[in-house]
Amino acid sequence: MGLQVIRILSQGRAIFLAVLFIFFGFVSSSESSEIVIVGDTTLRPVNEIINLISDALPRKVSVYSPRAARGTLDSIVSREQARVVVALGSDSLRSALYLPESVPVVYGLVVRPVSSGRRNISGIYLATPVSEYMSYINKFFPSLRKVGVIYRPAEGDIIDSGESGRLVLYRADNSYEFIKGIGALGKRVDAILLSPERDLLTSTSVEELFRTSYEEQKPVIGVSEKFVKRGALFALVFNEVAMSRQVAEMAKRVLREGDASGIAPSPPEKYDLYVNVETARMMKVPVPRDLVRKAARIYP
Amino acid sequence: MKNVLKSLMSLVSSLEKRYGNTLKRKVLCVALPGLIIASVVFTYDALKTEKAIMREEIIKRAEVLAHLASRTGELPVLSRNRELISGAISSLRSIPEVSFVAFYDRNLGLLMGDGPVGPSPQALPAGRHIVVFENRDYFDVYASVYTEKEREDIDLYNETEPGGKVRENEGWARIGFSKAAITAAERKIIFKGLLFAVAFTLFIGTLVSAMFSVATKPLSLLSRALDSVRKGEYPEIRVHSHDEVGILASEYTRMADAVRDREARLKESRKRISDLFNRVEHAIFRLDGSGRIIETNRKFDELCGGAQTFSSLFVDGDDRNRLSETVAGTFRDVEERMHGSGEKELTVIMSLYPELDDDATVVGFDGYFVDITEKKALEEAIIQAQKLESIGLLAGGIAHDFNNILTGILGYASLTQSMVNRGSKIYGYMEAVTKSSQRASNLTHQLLGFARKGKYKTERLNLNNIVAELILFLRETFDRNIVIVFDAAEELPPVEGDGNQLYQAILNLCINARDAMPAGGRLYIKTEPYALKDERTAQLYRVPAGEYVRLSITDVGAGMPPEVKKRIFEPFYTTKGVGRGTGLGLSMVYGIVKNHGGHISVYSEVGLGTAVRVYLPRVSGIIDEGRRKNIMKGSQGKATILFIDDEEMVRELGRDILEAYNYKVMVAVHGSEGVKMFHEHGDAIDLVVLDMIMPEKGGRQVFSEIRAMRPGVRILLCSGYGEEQNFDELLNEGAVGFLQKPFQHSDLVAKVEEALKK
Repeated sequence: MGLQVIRILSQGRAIFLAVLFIFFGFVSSSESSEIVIVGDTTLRPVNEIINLISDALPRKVSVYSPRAARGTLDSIVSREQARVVVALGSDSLRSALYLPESVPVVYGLVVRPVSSGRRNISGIYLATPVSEYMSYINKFFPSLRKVGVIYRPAEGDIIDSGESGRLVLYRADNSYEFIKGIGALGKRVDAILLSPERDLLTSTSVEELFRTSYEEQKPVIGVSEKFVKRGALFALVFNEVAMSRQVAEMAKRVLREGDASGIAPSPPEKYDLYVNVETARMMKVPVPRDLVRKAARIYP
Repeated sequence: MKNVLKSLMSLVSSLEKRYGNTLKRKVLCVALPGLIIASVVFTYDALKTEKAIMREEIIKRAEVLAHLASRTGELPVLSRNRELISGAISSLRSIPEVSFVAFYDRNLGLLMGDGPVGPSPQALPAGRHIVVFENRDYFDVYASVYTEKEREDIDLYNETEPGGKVRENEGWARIGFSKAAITAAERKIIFKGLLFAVAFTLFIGTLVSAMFSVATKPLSLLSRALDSVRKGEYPEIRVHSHDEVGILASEYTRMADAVRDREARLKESRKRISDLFNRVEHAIFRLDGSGRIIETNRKFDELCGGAQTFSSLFVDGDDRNRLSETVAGTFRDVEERMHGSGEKELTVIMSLYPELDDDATVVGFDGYFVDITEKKALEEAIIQAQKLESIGLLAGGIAHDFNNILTGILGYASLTQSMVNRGSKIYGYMEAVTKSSQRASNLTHQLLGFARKGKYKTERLNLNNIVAELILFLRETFDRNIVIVFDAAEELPPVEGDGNQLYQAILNLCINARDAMPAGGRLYIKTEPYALKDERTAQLYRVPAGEYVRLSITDVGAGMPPEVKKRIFEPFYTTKGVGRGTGLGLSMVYGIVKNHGGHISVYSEVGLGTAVRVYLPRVSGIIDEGRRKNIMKGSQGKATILFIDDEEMVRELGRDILEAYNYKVMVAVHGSEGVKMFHEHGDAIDLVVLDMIMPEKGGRQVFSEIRAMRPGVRILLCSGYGEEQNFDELLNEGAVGFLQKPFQHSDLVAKVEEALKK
C-alpha cells in the first residue's frame, strides 16, 4: 500500500515535502515521543512520506511499522507517552482503532471515513464524495440526468442525500450483486458512478461493468485515474499535496487541542480531474472545453 | 536380469550349436535380442514419457478447464443461483473428457453437481488454486472459484502491478476429467511402439547383417581359404583394401606360401623317412600300450606279416613280460626266436623302447629287430667248418705219420712175400701183415680224404657217368627194397676232380642213405646244373658264387635231429653203433667235396628223410674218357731213378722195390742232397721220385731247382701228407704224377712205369 501512496504522492513530491517540513519536526526516538507514526516503512514511498512528516513536526516523533504496532500500539503509546498517534494506511488505522479513547488518532491515506463511533479518531479520507461528482456532472454533463450508484451499506456516508433525485442507488454486497446492479441500472440511468469499494470492483465485475458500459452506452464515472485510463468518462481524485497538508494540519490541531473528538473526518479539499475524451466521443457525451482545461490529464 | 542374461546366453549357445558360430551369426545372436530389448525398452520409455506427457497435458487441460470453471463459476457461486450454476455445469459437461462437474462453497459444501460426483475431501491444501487428485479412471480436479480484487481500497487509485491483486476464495469447482484419452493414447503408443520395435529390429538386424556380410566378406574368403589350406589347397585371395582385413589377407598369402613350402618340405621329408622306414633291413614296428601291433615297415611285413600282437611273435611263448622289461629299459639288443612268415623260425636281435607322453606315462612302444637267422647259420657253419678244419689238420698230421709207418710195413711185407714161396708160413704172415696194414692204410686214406690231402689226380668228369657206374654197383649190392631213382640232367656240365674220390664220396652218401632206410625206401639221386648267384649263400657255403653242378641224394629214411646233423661230418662220429661204422665216411665225403672246391649241405627232417646236396664247380671243356684204367698191368724198365725222401724206411723201401724191378736207384736223404745228386748225375737220371714233405728244403723247392737244371726231367710227386695241400700247380708245371703214401710196391711200380712213359 505504501508503494501506492508514494506513487500517488510522487507527482507533488516537492510541495508535499515542503509542507511536511513546515508542520512536522524530527524528534529522536531515543527520548519519549509526543507523536507516534505507524506506517509501512518497508515501502519506499511510504517511508519517504514518514520521513517528511518527521522532518516537519517539531516534536519528538517515533515511527513504527504496522506489523510492529499490531496489538502493541497501546503499550507503545504508553511507553512513548505519545499524545497523538498518526495512522497512515488502513493497516495502521486498524491497530489504532483499539487504542483507548484517551489517545487521539489522526489517520491518513485511508479511502473512506472510519465510522467506528469512537470520538478520539479523525482524519482525512481519500474518497471523493458523490456530491462532488454530482456538482461536476451538473455543471459539465447536464445530459447525464440519471446517475446510478451501486454501493455497499457502509458507503452511505459518501452519498449526498441532496442529490437523491438524480441518483439511482443500488445496493450490492458482493461483486455478483454489483454486476447484477449494473444490469439492473443499465436501462434506467445515463451513467454509473463508481464507489471506491474493492469488494465490488473485482476484476470480473469491472470487466462486466465496462462491457455493459460500452454495450449500453452508459458512461462509467470514477473512481481514479486508472479507471479513466481504462474507459471511464472522468474521475475526481484527491490532490496528494493538499491531502498531506490536511493530515498535517489535523495532527497539529489534535496535538494542540489534545483531543480529536471535536474534529470530524474530512474529505480531500482539492481534487485533480482526469478525463477520457475517447469514451466521451464513443458515448456521445459532449465534453466542455472548461472541463478539459481543468483536467490534470486527458486520455487517451 | 541375471536370469534374462542366462537365458540369452543359453539361446546364443543353442543357436551356435544349431547354425554354426560365424561372427555374423554371433553378432546377430547378440544384437537381435539386444535390439529387441532396446526396442522394448525404448518403447517402454517412450510409452512412459508419452504417458507422462499425455498425463501432463491432460492435467494441464484439466487445469485449464478447472481454471475456466473457476472463472465461469465465480458469479454463479457468488450468486448461489442454481440456474447460473447449472449453466456453468452444462457448459463444462459438454466437453467430452469431463465426466462430472460440481461446484462447492468455500467450506466445500456442495452447491450443485452433475455426473458421478464422488465424495469430496474434508479440506483441500491451503494456498493452492488448483488441486488435482488422480484416480484410476479420472483426474479429480478442484479449482478455486475466486474473486480478484485490489489488495486495499487505496489501490483503486493506483496502477496495479501484475499480481498485485488479491484473490479471495468464494468456493470450488470440481471437475472429473476422464483418463480415457490417456488409455486410448497408451494403446496407440503401445501398438505403434511394438510396430516400431519390430520394424526397427528387422531393419537394424537386416542392416547389421548386410554390413557384416560386407565387412566380413574378406574374412569369409579368408575362412574358405583357410579351410582349403586344411584340405591341402592354397588358393589365392584378392582383397584390395589396405585396412586390417587387407593386411590380414596379405599375411594369409604369406602364410599360405610358407605353409605350402613347409608342407612340400614336410612331404618330401616324410617320403624320405617313409622310404627309409621301408627300405631299411631292420624290421620296425610300433605297438600300442597293450602290445597290439599298430604300425610296421616293409621288412617287418616281409618277415612276420600278419602278426597282430607283440607276444604272438615269439617262439618262446608269452611267459616273459617283454613290455615290462622294455619299460624297465632292459629290453635292448636281445636275441629272440620268432615265428616268421610261412612257419619259418627266425633268430633276431630285438630292441624295444617305450613311448611316453608328457606325463611320462607309457602310451605305446616302438622297436625294431634284425633278422640274424642266416648270419647265425653262417656263424654256425663257420664254426663247424673251423672245427672240421681243425680236426682235419689233426687227422692229416696223424695220417701222414701213419702212412710213412705203414709204407714201410706194407712195402717190406710185400717185398718179403715176393721173396718167399706163396705157400710158406712167412708168406701167410706177411699176407696178414699186409691186410692189416692195408686196413690201416684205408683208415689213413679216409682220414686224408677228410683232411682234403688226398687229391692227386684231376680230370674233367661227367657226374652222370660216375653215378650211372655207381648205380650198377649199388643195385647189385643194396637190398631190393631200396629203390634207386636217378634223375640225371641232360647235358650236365663237366666238373673237374678225382673220379675215384668222387665215386667213393657218392658211394658213401648212398650207403648212409641206405642205412637210414633199414625197411627200404626210395633213394633219389639227381644231378643238375645250378647257378649259385647269391653272394650271401655262397659265403654261407664258403664257396665262390658261380656255376655249379648239384648232386642231390635224398632218402625217405628216419632223418636226423639237429644235434646229430651238426656233427655228421666230424671224424669218428657215428650213430651206427660199435663195429658198424668207422665214423669216417661222411668226414671223407666232406673232405673230398671241399677238396674239389665244392660244398655239401644236409637237410633232414626227423621221420621224413634226409637230402644231401653236393655242389661242385662246373668247368668247361671236353670230358676225359677212359678214366679208370688198369694200372696194374706190369712193365719194368731199366731206367735210373733218383728217390728223394727224408724217411729212411720209405727211402729204403722205394729202393728195394724199384731195384727189385730192375731199376737203377739213387737215393737222397733230403732235398739238398737230391739236388746235388741230380746236379751230378742229372743226365743219367730218367725219373725223380720226390717226397714233397721234407725238412730244410721242401719238395716244391727241390722240384724247382731240378727243373731249373733240366726242365724236361720227369718228376713223380710223392706224399703221405704235407702242409702244401694242393699239388696241382706242380702237376701243371710238368710233374708226371702223384704217388700217395702209403703205397704198396705195385702202386710204386705202376706209377713209375706210367711216369716213364710220359
